[in-house]
Amino acid sequence: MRFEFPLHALQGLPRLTVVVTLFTLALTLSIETHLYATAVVAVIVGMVLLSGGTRALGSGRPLERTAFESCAKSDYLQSMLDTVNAALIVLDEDGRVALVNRGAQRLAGTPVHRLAQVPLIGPSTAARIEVIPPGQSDVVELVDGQAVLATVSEFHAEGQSSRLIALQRIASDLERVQLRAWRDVMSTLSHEMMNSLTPIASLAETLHDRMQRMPVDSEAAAIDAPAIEAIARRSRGLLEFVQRYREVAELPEPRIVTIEASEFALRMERLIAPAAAKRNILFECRLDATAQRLALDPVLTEQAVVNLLFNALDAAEGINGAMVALHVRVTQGDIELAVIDNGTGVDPSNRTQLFVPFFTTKAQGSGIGLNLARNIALVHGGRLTYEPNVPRGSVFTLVFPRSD
Amino acid sequence: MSPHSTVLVVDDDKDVLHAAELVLSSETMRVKVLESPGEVEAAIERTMFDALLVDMNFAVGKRDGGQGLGLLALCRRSDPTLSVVLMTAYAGVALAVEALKGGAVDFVMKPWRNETLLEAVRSASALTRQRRQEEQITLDALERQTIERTLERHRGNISLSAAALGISRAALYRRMAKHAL
Repeated sequence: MRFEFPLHALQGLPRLTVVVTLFTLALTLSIETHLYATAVVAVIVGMVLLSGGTRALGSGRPLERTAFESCAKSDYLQSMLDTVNAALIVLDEDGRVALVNRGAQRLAGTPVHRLAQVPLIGPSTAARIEVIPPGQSDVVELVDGQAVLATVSEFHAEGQSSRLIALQRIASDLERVQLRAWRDVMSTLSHEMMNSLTPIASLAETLHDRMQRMPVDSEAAAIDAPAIEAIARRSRGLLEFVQRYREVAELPEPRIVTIEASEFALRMERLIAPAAAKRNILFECRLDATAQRLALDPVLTEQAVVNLLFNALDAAEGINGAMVALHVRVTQGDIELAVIDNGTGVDPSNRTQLFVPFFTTKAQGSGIGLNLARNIALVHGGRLTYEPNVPRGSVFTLVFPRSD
Repeated sequence: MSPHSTVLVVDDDKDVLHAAELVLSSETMRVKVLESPGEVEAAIERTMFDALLVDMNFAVGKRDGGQGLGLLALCRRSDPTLSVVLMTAYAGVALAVEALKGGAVDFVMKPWRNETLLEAVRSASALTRQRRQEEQITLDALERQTIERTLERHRGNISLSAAALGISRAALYRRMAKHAL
C-alpha cells in the first residue's frame, strides 16, 4: 500500500489525508485479520468520509475557506478512527511519533516520542517493526508475550515521507483457530479410537472372565490371565483418557450473563477457603472498586477459576507463609481475573508448554486443567496469560473483553 | 427371561461383531450378526428376533448417526414390537435424544462394558416379549368381544352367528370354548 498526496495541499488537509490513510489501512487490516466487526465500522466511517468529501469538492469553494471545516472534520474522523481496535501510530521521517489513535494510546499508556519507548513494545520489538518494508506485515511479540500483527505503510504529505504502523493483537485469533483445529482433530481421533477400542476392551474383558474360571494352577491362569488383565486395564485407561479430553474439546458456547462480582468472589471463597485452610494456605479474594458487575458465562468462568485456584493451592502447599489470592478487576476494555500464588512457580523450560493439552508436571495430573481454563478464555473472546509472581510463584490471569 | 431369545447385531466392523457375539451368546441367547445394513430388512422378515443391536454409523467418516436412525425407522415400520438398541462411538446428548425419539429402547456407548451391553440387550428382549404378549392379549380380547356381541345379536343362534362371522360352526365352537363363552 502506498499513498501519494499532492504536495500543494493546504493547511488542514494533510491531517485529513493522514486520517484517510489511517482509515483505509484500518479497513484493509480488519478484513485481513478477519475482524469483520471492525471492518463494518470502517466501512461506515468510509461512507461518512466519502459523502463529506464529495460535498466539500462539489461546493467549489476555495480550499482556504474550508480549512477550518477540514480541521473540524478531521477531528471527527479522528474520533471515528478511535473506534478501530488496532493501534495506529504515524512515524515521521526521523522515526518520531507524529500521531496516534486511541488504540495506540491505550497500548502506550503514556505519551511517547519513539516506538521503543512504548513499554509493551520495547527496543528489540520496535527495531523489528521499524525494518518491516512498507506495504508488508509481520508478526511480532510484545513484552507481555502476546503476538501482534504489525503492518507498515508509507505515505507522503507535507513534503515528508511518513510511515503508518498498525498493530493488531492477533493472539486470541490465532488461538481460536488453533482451538478449532484441535477440536476437529480430537473429534475424529476420539471417534476412531473409540471404534478400535470397542473390540479390544470387550474381548479382553470376555477373555479375562473366562480365565477366572480356569483351574488356578493351570499355565493359562498363571501367564495368560495377568496379560489379558493388563490389556483390559490399559484399554479402560485409554478410554477414560479420551473421554476426559472429549469433555474439554466439546466446550459449549458461552452464555454471557451479568453477575455481581461480589457474589462470584463469595462463591469462590466458599469453595476454596476450606481446602486452603486444610492445607495451611492463606486464601484471599480481592475485589477492585472497578469490579462491580461482570458480564461473562458464570458456569464456565467458575470452572476456569477453580482450576487455576486448585493449581495455585498445589503450587503453594508446603511453603512457609503459603498464600493464594484471587484478584478481580475491570479495566477500560477487559475483565481480569488473576490467580496469584507464592508457590513454586513455572520452570522457564516449561513455559511454552503451559497450555498444551495433556502436558503436566504433576504425578497425578491430567494436563487438562490449564488447557480447559485457556479454552474457556478463548470462547469468551479473551485469553489466559501467565507471568511469574515477584518474588516467587505465579500469576495466571483470565482476560475477557468487556461485552457490556 | 424365557430361554432362547434371538438377537441380531449389525455393525460394519467384524471385530466388533465378534466381541458382541462372545458377550451376548449364552444358553439363553442366540446371536446372529450382519455386516451390511442393507440385509437387515430381509433378515427381520425371515427371523423373529427379540432384539436388534445396531451401530449408528457405517460408512467411513460418517458420524451423524444417520444410517442407524434410518435403520431404526425401517425396523419400527416393519415390526413395531421389536426393540432396537443403538450403539455409537460418537458421544453426544443430541444423538442419544434423536435415537430415543426415533423409538430406540436404549443407547449404548462404544466402547461398552460387557455387563452394560448384556443388560441393555436383555432388557430390550424382555420388552419385545412384553410388547408381543400385550399385542396378543389385545387380539384375544378383541376376538372374545366380537364373538360375544355377535352371539347376543343373534340371540345365541350358533349357525347365524357363525355365518355372520364368516367361520364354520365348528370353528365358532372352538373359539367359544377357548374364551369360555
